[in-house]
Amino acid sequence: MSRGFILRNQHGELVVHRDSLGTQCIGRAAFTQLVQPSSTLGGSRVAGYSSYRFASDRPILWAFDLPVGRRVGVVSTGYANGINTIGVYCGANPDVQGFDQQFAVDVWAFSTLVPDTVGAGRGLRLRNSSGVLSHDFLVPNITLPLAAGDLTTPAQLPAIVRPVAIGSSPFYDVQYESDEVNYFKTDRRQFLLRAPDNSVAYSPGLIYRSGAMHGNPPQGSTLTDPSPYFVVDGQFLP
Amino acid sequence: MTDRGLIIRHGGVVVFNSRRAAGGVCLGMFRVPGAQTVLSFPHMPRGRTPIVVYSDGSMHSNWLYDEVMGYPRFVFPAVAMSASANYTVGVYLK
Repeated sequence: MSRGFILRNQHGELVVHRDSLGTQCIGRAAFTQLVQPSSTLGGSRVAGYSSYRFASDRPILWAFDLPVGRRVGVVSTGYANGINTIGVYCGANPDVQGFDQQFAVDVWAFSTLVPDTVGAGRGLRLRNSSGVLSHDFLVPNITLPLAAGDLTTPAQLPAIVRPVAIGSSPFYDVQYESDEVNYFKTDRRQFLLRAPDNSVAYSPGLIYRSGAMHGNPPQGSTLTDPSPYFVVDGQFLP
Repeated sequence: MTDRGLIIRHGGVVVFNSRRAAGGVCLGMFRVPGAQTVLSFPHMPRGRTPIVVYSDGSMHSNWLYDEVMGYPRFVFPAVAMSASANYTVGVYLK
């Protein structure tokens, strides 16, 4: 067991450990387009989204704003030649079939400590057991979780100006209903929803994709591993 | 002892307050390929709650956690996806 700088909060939970890594926002993703749900013509429908770009080669966790009453989550990511593309669901005002109207939303990139951004000023820095810099409390936009939640436990937020969620890959549940010649696929997803009382929880399952499929349905239904999420204070983010 | 804690200001703005912080330290962010992946953290304590955060909207395998080596270890089983694909995880300990 290593000895060194360790901080716990009043619940005895770890909040800083010299062998953990500081995290920081490394920038805001650029909006590229807004796509509304597909047409009601033709039977099969899919939800809309908005998309964003961000240039970086680092492993990134995407974070997003939580406008009150809108259901938000990352639905797809891609990477090629140094550019990340992020598809984000941010919906409200469902139509008669339950498909949400989509809105643009602010999206940020979070990474572990980026050595290049380490400043020359005086302040608290930590090195890990191997002597490598692990935390620098002077770098811009350091982040710490102010609340956490998961599929069954909402995050209760302190009074912060702008809650921003990290994590929450939308939990999804795909069901198949067979008829005599085809089957009908219904894909429902749960996104994060910030309530007026400043709690953040997974929303009820929203229709994401539906339509008649040919052939035999897959066995049973498909569920993803629901991601827990952290909420940070986005008040000073770029 | 609730009045104890560490508060750090930068340019007059509070950038860190251990009394407001929810539990969870980041052990790293990693791109996990479709093959089984094991992430070990020999310097971290045992007996803490492991947390894995995803943010990419894709299918994942169900990760496993153990301390059989005497320290925290996260195992991501193989998952069916294309050879060049990967997903990003944030690994935390509370």
